[in-house]
Amino acid sequence: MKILDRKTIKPGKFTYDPSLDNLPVSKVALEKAERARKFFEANPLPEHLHRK
Amino acid sequence: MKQYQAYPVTFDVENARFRFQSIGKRGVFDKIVEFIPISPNIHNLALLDYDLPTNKYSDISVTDNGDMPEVIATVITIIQRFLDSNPGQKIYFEGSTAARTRLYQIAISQVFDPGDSDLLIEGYKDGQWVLFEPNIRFEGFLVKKKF
Repeated sequence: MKILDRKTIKPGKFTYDPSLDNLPVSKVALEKAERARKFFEANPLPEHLHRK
Repeated sequence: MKQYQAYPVTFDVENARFRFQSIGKRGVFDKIVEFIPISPNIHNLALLDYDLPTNKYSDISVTDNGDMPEVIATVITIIQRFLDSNPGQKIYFEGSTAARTRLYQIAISQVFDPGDSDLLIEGYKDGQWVLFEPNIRFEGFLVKKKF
């Protein structure tokens, strides 16, 4: 399907927040990453997608 | 032309953890995006709700805040920033359920214009990666820079 209506994203402001530094990675994020790692082990990325 | 305004974002020194607030019909909710490496050139993206009073993260809570396009637009700007500071990397993400992945897909279709972005989104479907299309039910998404 062709996308006929154009759309853009206007970025919001990005601000460094030191309170986000050195926090432990959340358990949920680690679990998701582990599932993804297993997915790519079972389904390696095709060579053409590895290219930059 | 339709323009989607992404939310303001704060980030950590490593550009690996980002926070923003979803502001919608049900109130204000803290969202966290975390990138975790899963291979030498792929990071997994986790989009989580953060409950400040309990200090708990969740990827299954349903906020139904009516602003999914703005949330996904914000996540796309975060991916853009992450890839700018981590050249050659790719980002993988999926929803915590098939229904949530479908919601992400709908929101991506609403806000993402492949011709107007330097990002390339591929979708995983039936064992194959194909360029993102609005009407295919993908199981996961891979994002990389076009160049």
